[in-house]
Amino acid sequence: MNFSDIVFDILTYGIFLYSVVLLLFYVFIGLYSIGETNNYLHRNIFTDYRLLAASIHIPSVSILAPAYNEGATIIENVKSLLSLYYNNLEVVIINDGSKDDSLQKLIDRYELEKVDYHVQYKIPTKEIKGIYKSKSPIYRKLVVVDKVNGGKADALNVGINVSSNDYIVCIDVDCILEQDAILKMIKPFLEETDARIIATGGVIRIANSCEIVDGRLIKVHLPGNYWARMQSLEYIRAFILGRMAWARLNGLLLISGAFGAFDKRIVIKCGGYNHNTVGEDMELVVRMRRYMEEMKLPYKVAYIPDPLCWTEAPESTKILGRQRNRWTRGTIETLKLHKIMFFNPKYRLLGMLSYPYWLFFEMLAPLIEFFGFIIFVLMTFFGIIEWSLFVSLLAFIISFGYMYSAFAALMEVTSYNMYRRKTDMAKLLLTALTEPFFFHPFGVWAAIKGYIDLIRKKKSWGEMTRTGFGTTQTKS
Amino acid sequence: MVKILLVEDNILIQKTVQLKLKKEGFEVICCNDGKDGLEKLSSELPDVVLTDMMLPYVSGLEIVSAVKTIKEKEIKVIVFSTMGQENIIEEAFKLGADDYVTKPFSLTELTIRIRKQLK
Amino acid sequence: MVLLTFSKKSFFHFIQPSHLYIATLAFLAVTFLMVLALYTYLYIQKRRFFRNKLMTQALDDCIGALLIERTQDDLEKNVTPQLLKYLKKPISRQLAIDQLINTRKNISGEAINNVIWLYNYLNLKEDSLKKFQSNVWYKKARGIYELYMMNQRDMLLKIFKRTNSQNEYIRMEAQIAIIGFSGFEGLVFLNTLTYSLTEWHQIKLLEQLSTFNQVHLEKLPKWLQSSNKSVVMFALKLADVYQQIFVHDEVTECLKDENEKIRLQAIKTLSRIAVDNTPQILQDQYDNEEYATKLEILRQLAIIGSEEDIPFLLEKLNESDDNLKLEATRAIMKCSSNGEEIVEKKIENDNIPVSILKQVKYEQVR
Repeated sequence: MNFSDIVFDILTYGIFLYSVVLLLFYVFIGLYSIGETNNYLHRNIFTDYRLLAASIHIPSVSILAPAYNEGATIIENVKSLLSLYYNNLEVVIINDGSKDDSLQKLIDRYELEKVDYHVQYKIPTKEIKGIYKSKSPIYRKLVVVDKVNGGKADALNVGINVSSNDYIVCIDVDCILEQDAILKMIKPFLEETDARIIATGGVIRIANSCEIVDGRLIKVHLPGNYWARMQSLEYIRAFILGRMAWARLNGLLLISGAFGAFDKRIVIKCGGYNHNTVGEDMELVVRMRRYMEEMKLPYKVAYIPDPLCWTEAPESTKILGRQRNRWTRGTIETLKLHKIMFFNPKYRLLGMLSYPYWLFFEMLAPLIEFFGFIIFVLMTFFGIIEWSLFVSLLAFIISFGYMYSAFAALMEVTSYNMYRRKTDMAKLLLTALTEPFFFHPFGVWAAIKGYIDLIRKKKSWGEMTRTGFGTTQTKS
Repeated sequence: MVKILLVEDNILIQKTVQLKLKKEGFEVICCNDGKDGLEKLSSELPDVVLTDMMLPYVSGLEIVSAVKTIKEKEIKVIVFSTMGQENIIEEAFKLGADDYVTKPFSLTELTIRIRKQLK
Repeated sequence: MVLLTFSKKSFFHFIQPSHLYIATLAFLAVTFLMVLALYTYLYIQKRRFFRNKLMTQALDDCIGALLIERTQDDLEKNVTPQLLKYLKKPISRQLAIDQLINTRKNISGEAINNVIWLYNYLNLKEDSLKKFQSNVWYKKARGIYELYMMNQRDMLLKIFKRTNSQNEYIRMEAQIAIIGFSGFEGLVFLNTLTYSLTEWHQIKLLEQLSTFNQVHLEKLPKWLQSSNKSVVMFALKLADVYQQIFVHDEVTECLKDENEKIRLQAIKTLSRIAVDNTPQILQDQYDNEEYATKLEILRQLAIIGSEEDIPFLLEKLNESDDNLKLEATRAIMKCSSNGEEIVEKKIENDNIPVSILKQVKYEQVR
């Protein structure tokens, strides 16, 4: 055996082991999520959320919605936020230095006036230009903050400083929430026993092609656009299987920026959102968990599988690519910031399982795949590839992917079954067949671009990020 | 005939109240959600509006305030609310509600309250 | 997923293409079965949906007619043969129970007796009992829920035995049921409860109690001293909601509890049942407290405080945290007729942000 043989062996065995562990993880996640979903459904089937809506004993909640150049839809979005079922609610819209007429539109429509309001900068942020409230009692819940542009994390931090309530629900302003969304998100906090609930994550669903009137979801349709439809499947897989299983293990690392509820006291203790990363949503959850672990306090991050939040997914490869590029950078930055936890028993499950999983199977996966692809091209070029093996491996991997997708579809149908038109499911399943050939390679390529951008230290978090598209991460 | 607009998303309750009020000799128009309620309000111009507080799309409070902007005729508004929402009831009155009924409510009581408003 | 593109004899000595193809076939077979299951499920759901739709219509008509019926006679004529036909299937029976419960939640008065009559007449109790006797927790909990919503008082004792069940959901439904049957007297289960009541659970109990006329809660002192912290918490809320002034001493005692949430609620409760020296008690407590409880003390002093509390509140304008200053300002403005002047003077002397006073002034105008 010569040297190159040994290197080759290490590589082959290493990658084989990696793949086997990954597949086993998928199988585990799939099976483990079933029990949790069923449990959740059984627990809540006859819960009367209206009772909670009516009670005077419910905790106070502030919704924080940063808006950047959302003038086109801001009026409807705010209207739908104001009609949410929750009594003790404050809706804080943070105008992050928009260049359009969002603020004026809000002032006109909701009869806003600039008010005297003292803000304590518990978390340091950019300057606040003014705080507005409505003169009309119908809109008493509404608070609009006008601030100097500073990005999403900064806007959310301003919202945290301004909000006067115990719990915060952070959302993207263009998301469409179901009317009982806040009730369902707050319930886990009320059910806490010994372990403190520090945050609740919610499901994001794709709103493309859905019927939406006045900021309300009227009817759910499967997206007509290929890329959006593919993302519908991806979101089902991530939210119904992945997150559910991780939540059951109490190992959830990511709550989508588009929809999550937090215990404000802990958020403030941790210093709020980090504005130096493009993955501020994931970073906050990781930091909060790390804080609780270091304080040795029992805690839990809860998760609600009900489809409560609907968002428009990118339909063009250009925007989708940027989104995935950003997700990759966000993941890398977050994991780098908290590298001390890597296989660190002090952090228990967080350090021993969640962190390594994210490092190996979320962060490094695109890199390893890309590397494999390069080798494949090289070997073809030099004519040393063994085609029979290659084809069989490809078939093995692809068929496993199909199985996983079919399982996700089955779980969706038996739990919430949002896509009710006759052909919807068939379309979704057919779309799944194309995944390994178009959508998946595209995702890998976008992630690689993320790596490249990060190496070049490019921090493009400027304007494009608030086009309303995908500030959410969906990876499992 | 006295025309009543009933905005209630719970179909069973809607049907029951409708049956009862018809029996009492009222004309009843039903809506399943707040949006429909607002539309029917301006097209039908009822004498009395009965509305739930928690409705799909448009809240009961908005219906109350919409009723009070109608100049063509004086319309009475009675709101249903689930128990304990005192501050919501207060708000509804601020916006011009004429009476409220807490759920669960008795059908007889509801008719009495409607008649009282019509006097 | 990863493309394994290596070819190497030494390694693939163990794994050969044929193995992988077998696995592929297995995966594809499972995929196929899942898709089949998916469509079968959709088909069943669809059939069920149409059935349910027709059934709900028939049932709604029947319930509606029953509810406006003045007398108890002739109720049977409203139950159509068609409805009875639907009710042969268990799933339709469940739907019927759900609709009856829905009615019960929204309609009150005499009419509801007719709904309960229908429940008994259709023998739906059998279904609920079957669930109650089941060993599966969610079925049992559901059974309890149905039985008390349909006012089946004869089940009281059997349900009472479940109020300390080790399953959280069974326990909760049983407790709610007992309150539903017996009102405040039902609270006796608190004497022996060994498990904790979650906040959600407490909210449900309080809502359930709100339909009953209040009585003297003689056991309250005992609950306030319970070793079960969640019972203490709940008792504090009861004292608050029903203004049980006679437990003032026991509630004051709770300020010594190490659990912050209990102290927070005790502060709120004390304010609701305040006597002459309550503001002083809260003041004395202030320095022992943490941030959230300090805030709460200031908030409550705004409600129960008087001119006498002004010196104490003025001191708090020098707290380092702005929210404490804000609450203190609010309290001063509430407690004193010339609060504004007092605060203004203090602000000038001690260099406190004037925006705090401005905000409070704005709030007062509103």
